[in-house]
Amino acid sequence: MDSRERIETAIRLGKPDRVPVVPIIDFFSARYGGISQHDMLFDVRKADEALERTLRDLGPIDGQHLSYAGLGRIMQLIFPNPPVMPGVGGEPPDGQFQFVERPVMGPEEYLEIEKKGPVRWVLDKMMLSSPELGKPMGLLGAFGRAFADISKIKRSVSGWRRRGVESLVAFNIVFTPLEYISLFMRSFNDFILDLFRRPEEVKAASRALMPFMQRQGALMIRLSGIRRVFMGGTRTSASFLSPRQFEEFALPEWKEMCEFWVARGVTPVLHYDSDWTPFFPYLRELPRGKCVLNLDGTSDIFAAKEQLGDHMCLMGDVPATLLKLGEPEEVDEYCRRLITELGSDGGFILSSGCTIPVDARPENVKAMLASVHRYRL
Amino acid sequence: MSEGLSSLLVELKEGEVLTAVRESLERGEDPLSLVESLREGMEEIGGRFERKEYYLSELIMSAEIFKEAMALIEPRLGGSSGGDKGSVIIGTVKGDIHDIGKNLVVTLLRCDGFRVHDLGVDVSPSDFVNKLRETGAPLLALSGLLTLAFDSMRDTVRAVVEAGLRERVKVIIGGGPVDDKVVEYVGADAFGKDAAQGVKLANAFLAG
Repeated sequence: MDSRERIETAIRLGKPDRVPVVPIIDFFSARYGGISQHDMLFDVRKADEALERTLRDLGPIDGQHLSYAGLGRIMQLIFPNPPVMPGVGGEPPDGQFQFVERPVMGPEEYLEIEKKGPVRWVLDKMMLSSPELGKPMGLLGAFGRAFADISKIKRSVSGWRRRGVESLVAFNIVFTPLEYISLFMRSFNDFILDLFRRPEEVKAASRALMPFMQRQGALMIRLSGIRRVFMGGTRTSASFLSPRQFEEFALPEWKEMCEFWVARGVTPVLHYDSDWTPFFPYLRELPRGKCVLNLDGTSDIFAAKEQLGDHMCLMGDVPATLLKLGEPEEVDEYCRRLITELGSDGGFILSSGCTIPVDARPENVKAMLASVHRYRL
Repeated sequence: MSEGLSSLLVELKEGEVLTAVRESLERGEDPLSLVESLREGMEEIGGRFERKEYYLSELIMSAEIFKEAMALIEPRLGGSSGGDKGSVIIGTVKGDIHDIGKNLVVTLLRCDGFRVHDLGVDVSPSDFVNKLRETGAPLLALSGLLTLAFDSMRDTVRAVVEAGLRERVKVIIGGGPVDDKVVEYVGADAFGKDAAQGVKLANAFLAG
């Protein structure tokens, strides 16, 4: 089996020749490979060289999960709150990329999205950090540069595929409307209060944004040629919402979004940070054998196996803390458990819990990558 | 009335809590007894959270209602909020700007009667030490989401040791990836796996 077949077999709940390993690795590989975080985010060629060095030393992978390599300019463009970007605006070049949490949307704006139209509304928000988007030439120039960056990333993805490293989702990133509003528009606390104070307005905003989010994702998929899509979930997790709120606000969105992709032959990779354990039973309502549940080490992945193992491919979840502070033997033992308890009958992909931290111990990363060869099915 | 006020808060009835507080104040009820009822409500909500009957969103909403109610009551209190459990210095450590968890702990500590000095995000070890010296606070709460924050937390604890303050200052930490291993690495006294547990730790340390 090649890497792609191995990953696809696991996604369809089949049993591959061994468990595939598909981490989020580029923050770590940049540092290990001797380049700055800035270079990784803005120069995909340098990022590729750093990754190559990392894999040569620490062992092969079947695929890269979400990669930020080369996405720096695009991320500067699309977020209404400019993220903390290494090497930009006085930040140290090897600093840590971080999102900034600040509301750019008032509580009265939920109903405006439909009135104004979601494209116009989102573009207006993007102009807060990228005012050039307000002028036709600025808009053209910005999107021209974004497409140029996307072309470079595509070349990198093809290059890695030729070398047996599959790109799981490339730059196909989609949010459900409420995750998007909480993360980038309204901020965490205000969004939570809005769920209590103006529930119908929140739902109206969700309905208004949904087709826009789907179109944006479809464009990414067309551009990348990869028929898997990364869907980040954290703000609608059980770390924050009650089951009643999840049922009322979030589950309908997750279902609609997943069904939309599955109907088009696209695999949703649900990258779920924070604790989703109490919500596992709801995930049985998503299409069977068509989605990946990617956990970050906070949810109980072993409980996920019991409750969802026959329903969706599980992916995860070597915790960041273990990779930084643990011993290689501890990493190996955790991976052994994952592989034997979750992967023995297929439907499992080994991955880092969220990203491999930039300051992970290389010997721990090596132990993680080696484990899929050490513990065969 | 007091029991009713506490129940309304537990049921997260924002408008009814505020109306009840306004009416009670107009009737000339003792503002301190209103604060007491609200705190009882918050305690019950904390218990429900611990028993997993309530989730974080409910904790956040209750804290918001509590804050609004206190804004109505405070002008009648003449400077005393009826409870001062002691001072806490809190902040997200150097190099990290995540503050959702930290802000929630700040809110809950204040609701519970602590005097909280929130230093914000990306706080240097020396800023923490200076504030500890200035206030004499016996509790330091460090927050961070990134693994890089572990090193900043460790640097901060070292700075507290070097300043000769560690004997009289308890250090608690919190944030997504924090566990016992991190407590040991950092040299802290304990970690809170969520905001409510952070408040519990503060109560335990400051009472002890």
